[in-house]
Amino acid sequence: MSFVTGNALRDPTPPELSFHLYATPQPEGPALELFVEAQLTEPVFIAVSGQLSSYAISLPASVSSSTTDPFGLSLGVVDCATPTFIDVAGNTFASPRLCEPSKCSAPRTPVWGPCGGYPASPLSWEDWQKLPDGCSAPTDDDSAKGSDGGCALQPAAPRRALQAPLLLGALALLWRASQRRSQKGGSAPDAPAAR
Amino acid sequence: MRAQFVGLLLAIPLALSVSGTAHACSCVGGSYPVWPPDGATEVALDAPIVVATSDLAAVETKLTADDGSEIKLVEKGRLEMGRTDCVNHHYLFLTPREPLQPQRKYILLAQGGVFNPFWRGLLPVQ
Repeated sequence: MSFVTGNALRDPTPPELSFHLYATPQPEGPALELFVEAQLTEPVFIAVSGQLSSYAISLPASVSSSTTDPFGLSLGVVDCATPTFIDVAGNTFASPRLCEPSKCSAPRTPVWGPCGGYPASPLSWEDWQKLPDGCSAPTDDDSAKGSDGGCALQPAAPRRALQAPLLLGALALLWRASQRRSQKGGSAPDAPAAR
Repeated sequence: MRAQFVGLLLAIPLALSVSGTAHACSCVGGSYPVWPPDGATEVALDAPIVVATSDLAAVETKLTADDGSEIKLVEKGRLEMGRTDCVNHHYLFLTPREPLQPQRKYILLAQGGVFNPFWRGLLPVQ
């Protein structure tokens, strides 16, 4: 890649960030989710250390620019999170300790990229804006579901990551069956002929 | 043989039915410049350089001016978190040892990682 220099030095003023923390009930407990508002002229890098995953991502200057589309990410099932914000010079310019969600959403499944990646916010910014402020206490209807931190919890959704073990298991059974048939029937058809 | 075939026919739909959606995932790996952006103009003379990579231990960078002279880069830091996927989510922060010259074109190359046979900077820009 190539670039052309101008005549000025870089403005080292860090960007101003606004955080919108909300909670989403998960089977393990309330998960903290975050929207970040920023006006960026340079990318910002975020490091998140969580119980379930630690990751680093970048907010490209070209797409994470406005209040109409803040950047959303999941911080995991934690009481508090301290994401680290790093500028292009490698300097940490913000590391807020985030504990108190301003809103609570209905249970949602975290959104992961096709290769895993970092967990994105399960809510769109439009959906987040529709949520009422605060985390209301659970109602009687919610009591059967359990509650934690003011968020109603629902039973865990079934995990959907079993297809590979199932397929491998089925193939292993088929392989064993074929081995037994081969043993009963004598030498394998493709065995080299004895000389 | 017929039993094996029937078993396979049963196993595949069973396995796929547990998942609901199939995801396409291609692991590229390698390294590429993140900042300054490709084709940028009016880049600051003290602009930092950021390279994303899948392997910080293997990344190599090279900054060359339009007259062919090479500018030494100094590492300012690196960001490496747990590997959660196959995407390049590690970052190397660099700065030129000397300030860049105004109104000059520079070429930044980055390579290294799992799979990157070409220097990314030499690939045609799309």
